[in-house]
Amino acid sequence: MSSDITRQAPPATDSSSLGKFLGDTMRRPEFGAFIGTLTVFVFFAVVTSGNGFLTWRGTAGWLNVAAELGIVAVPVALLMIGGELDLSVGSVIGATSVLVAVATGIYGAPIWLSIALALALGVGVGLFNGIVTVRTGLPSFIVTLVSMLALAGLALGLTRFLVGTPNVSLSVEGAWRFLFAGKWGPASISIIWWVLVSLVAGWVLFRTQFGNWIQATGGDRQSAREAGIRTDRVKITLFILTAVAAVLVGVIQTMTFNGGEATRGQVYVFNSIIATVIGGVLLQGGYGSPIGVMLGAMTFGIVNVGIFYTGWSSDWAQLLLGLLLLAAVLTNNLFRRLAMRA
Amino acid sequence: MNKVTRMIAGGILALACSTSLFASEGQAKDADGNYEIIAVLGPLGDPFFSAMEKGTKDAAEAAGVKFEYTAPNGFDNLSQDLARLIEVGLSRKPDAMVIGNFIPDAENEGIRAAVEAGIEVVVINTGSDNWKELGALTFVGEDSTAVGRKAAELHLASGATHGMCINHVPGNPGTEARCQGFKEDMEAGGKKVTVLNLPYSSQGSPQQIVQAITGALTADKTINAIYTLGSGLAENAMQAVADGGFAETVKVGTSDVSRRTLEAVRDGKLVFDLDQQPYLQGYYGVLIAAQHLKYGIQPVGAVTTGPLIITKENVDKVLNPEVVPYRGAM
Amino acid sequence: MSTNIPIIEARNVSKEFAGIAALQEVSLKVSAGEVLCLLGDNGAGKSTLIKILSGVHAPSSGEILLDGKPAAFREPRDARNAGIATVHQYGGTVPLMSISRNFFLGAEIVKGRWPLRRLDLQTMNRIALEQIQSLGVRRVTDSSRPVGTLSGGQRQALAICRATYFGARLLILDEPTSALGVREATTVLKLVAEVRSRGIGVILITHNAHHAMSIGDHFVVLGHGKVVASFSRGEKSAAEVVGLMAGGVELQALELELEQFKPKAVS
Repeated sequence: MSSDITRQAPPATDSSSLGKFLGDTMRRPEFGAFIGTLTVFVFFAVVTSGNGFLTWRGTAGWLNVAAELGIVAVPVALLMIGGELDLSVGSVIGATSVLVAVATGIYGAPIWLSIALALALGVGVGLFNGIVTVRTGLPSFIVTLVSMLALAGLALGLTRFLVGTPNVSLSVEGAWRFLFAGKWGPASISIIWWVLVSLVAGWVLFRTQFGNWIQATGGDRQSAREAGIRTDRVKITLFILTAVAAVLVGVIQTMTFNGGEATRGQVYVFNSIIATVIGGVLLQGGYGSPIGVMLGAMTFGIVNVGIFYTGWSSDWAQLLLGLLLLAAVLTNNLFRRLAMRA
Repeated sequence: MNKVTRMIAGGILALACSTSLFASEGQAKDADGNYEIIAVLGPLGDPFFSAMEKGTKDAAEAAGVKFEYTAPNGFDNLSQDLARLIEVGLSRKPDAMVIGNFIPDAENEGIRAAVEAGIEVVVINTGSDNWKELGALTFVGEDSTAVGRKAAELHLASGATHGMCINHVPGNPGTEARCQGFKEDMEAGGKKVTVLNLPYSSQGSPQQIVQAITGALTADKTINAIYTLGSGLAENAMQAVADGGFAETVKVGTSDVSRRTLEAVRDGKLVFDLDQQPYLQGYYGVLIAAQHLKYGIQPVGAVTTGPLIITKENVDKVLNPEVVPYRGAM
Repeated sequence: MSTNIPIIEARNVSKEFAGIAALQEVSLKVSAGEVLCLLGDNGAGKSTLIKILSGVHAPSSGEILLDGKPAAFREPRDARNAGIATVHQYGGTVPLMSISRNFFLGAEIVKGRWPLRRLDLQTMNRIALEQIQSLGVRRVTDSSRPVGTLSGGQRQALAICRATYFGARLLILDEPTSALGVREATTVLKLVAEVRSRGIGVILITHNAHHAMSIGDHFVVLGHGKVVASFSRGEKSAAEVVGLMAGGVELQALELELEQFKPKAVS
């Protein structure tokens, strides 16, 4: 067919290696996200000139914010690429923080036991979300909304019942603190966790069999099943990974901020979706890159922290984030269309 | 109760808290002829209101009245939630209601309707300026603007030249008034004031709040005094000050207490902590309503519970572990 | 051409959904190197039948024989393992994934040891490209491109190619030509001939009697869940086949009706 011929790349593109390289780079799912991060960074570097945004402290500041968000957003992105949403991450963060704080701070459990309990909670929530979603066929939006509400209520009620306040202090020292809340000057160890989670997720998604299955499950579930992929297992696994990542952030926060709050973490639900979308993940699934989401979290961090270095009213941060989201979605669409045309 | 039943009870309680559905179930007036009091106050996820709730419950038990604490689940839909809860409370025809007038535009109407329906209303925590107008019995709490002024006075006394008020709930009249009072008196003292409004996208993410404060301090190095409006925020501000290397130059003071803020006062990291004593607000609110119903006695004029100024001099007394829960601090 | 034992045989297969009969006593068989065309109007029971043959549904009664032995497929995977591959209209491919990733979907080539076991993308790209080109689809030159950039016919080719590469002995092609233009459809039919010449059995589901007549060795026409006709190549003309398809009777009625309209429209 004639349309078939025109859809093929002209041979000239293949013969020019620079052209091919540029074309391939632009077709990468994280390219749009990279442009976005670069743009906001340059923007804030210029408007905050001399205010300390570009210092090590300023940089560590937005990296810290990006790290805590990114640790959750990257698995959320994998889940989204697999075709599902998770609204319960915020409740898992809050529940983890009070669980660890109450178990160790009030009942004196060893910290490893508290963390193990929190991990068990995460796996449990992930299993619940996953199994209920695949068994009932209900949208994961509803299923995870249920677990978000139930878990938030349970954490709050139980903490108040046992301790009398929703806000429990805990201070952890030594190796455990270093592992989850260690610091080099202003930069916290969560940045390393974040980079690690992003790189591993990127490797898994693009270089392993399971990654292939994730893309197929979210891209076209029917085709994936016909190819013999157990899409239900893929989804349940992703729900568990997401909840476990939320547990990790909960533990990091509990140690960094010396205590737990049952109501903590709900903003992560929205913010992780913002980071994934800025990072180029397709909301309807099947497409996206953890490295893109890493960049999306950076963009979020730069805007949210950078605004305070400008000395402007922070009300503008919200506006800027909104505009950025729109711009990100439009650019990502553009680059994806380019990819499909090439 | 053994542990399992405690757990189950906790779960049921949690569900009740998370949905507010139970609040709308109508109940007939108590068969024993006991007076019934319903409170519409702040979300229990906030330790401040946890202490207040403890006060209300203790007073209800002491006075022998039937009592229920109702509250929104969070701060994100406060106007509608509060208006709705007052309406629900009204329709259950209690003998008295204890209400925090956090958002007057949303609540005034309901409070007036309650008074007209013959329900005694005690306004607590917020609403010092219009409780009389609404026909309430009395007001228990503090004058938010006056608290802000007190914060300014304390910071000025320790040599502040540029103060920053951190408002973590922009648009809330109570926090706005504190920042306003702080601003007015700092400026009256010839000093500079910056108000830092934290965006919604940072609520519940301490890391973001810490970095926001660090950013503001780095961007304007003349800031040398911070006034925060909540204990959690005070902790975040202290962390930003310590991590950012501002410990020598920037002093932090706050409203509301937690165990960590009290310890910080003791350790000299916090120059003052203004306690409005939420436990007392809850306790007196319910007690006054009950005594008025039972004996027709009541205080004349408003009852002031704050600000109780906590500094290094008197902190040891309030840090006594036995009294800590009464301050909403664990 | 055909061996004595068919690859797959359905004997008196019936299927009910909530008491409603979708298939009644349907029998058919396909041997190696043979194309069976399954014809019938929408709702005739074609989809139900292929879902039973590919393990999606179990029959309510009757039996499925695999190489002459009774087989019970509990899930599509069982049928797949038995060498039965189903290719749907859009080829069962994921548009945003690359050609080679689609080619090896669910059967990826890996190298290295767990936890470092990873995809051997180079080998996957090379084999996928070789295989597709060997089936005569020469326009595809880069198997790392997304499948979404392929035409409908090329996607069909990819799916057929994938199935044969992974050892399918029987291909079930569900309406492979219905969404295609004339030239693309011809390409797919040529592909079916190529596959047949390699000794693979094919069940071709189609609406199009002409496509069927051009390639089929045997024909089964379904109507209202029953076998209306079953015959071999050369036993019936295309016109007869059209007439046999469940729509045939209605079509004749329609033609008559339309003829009544004609003079009116002219006058």
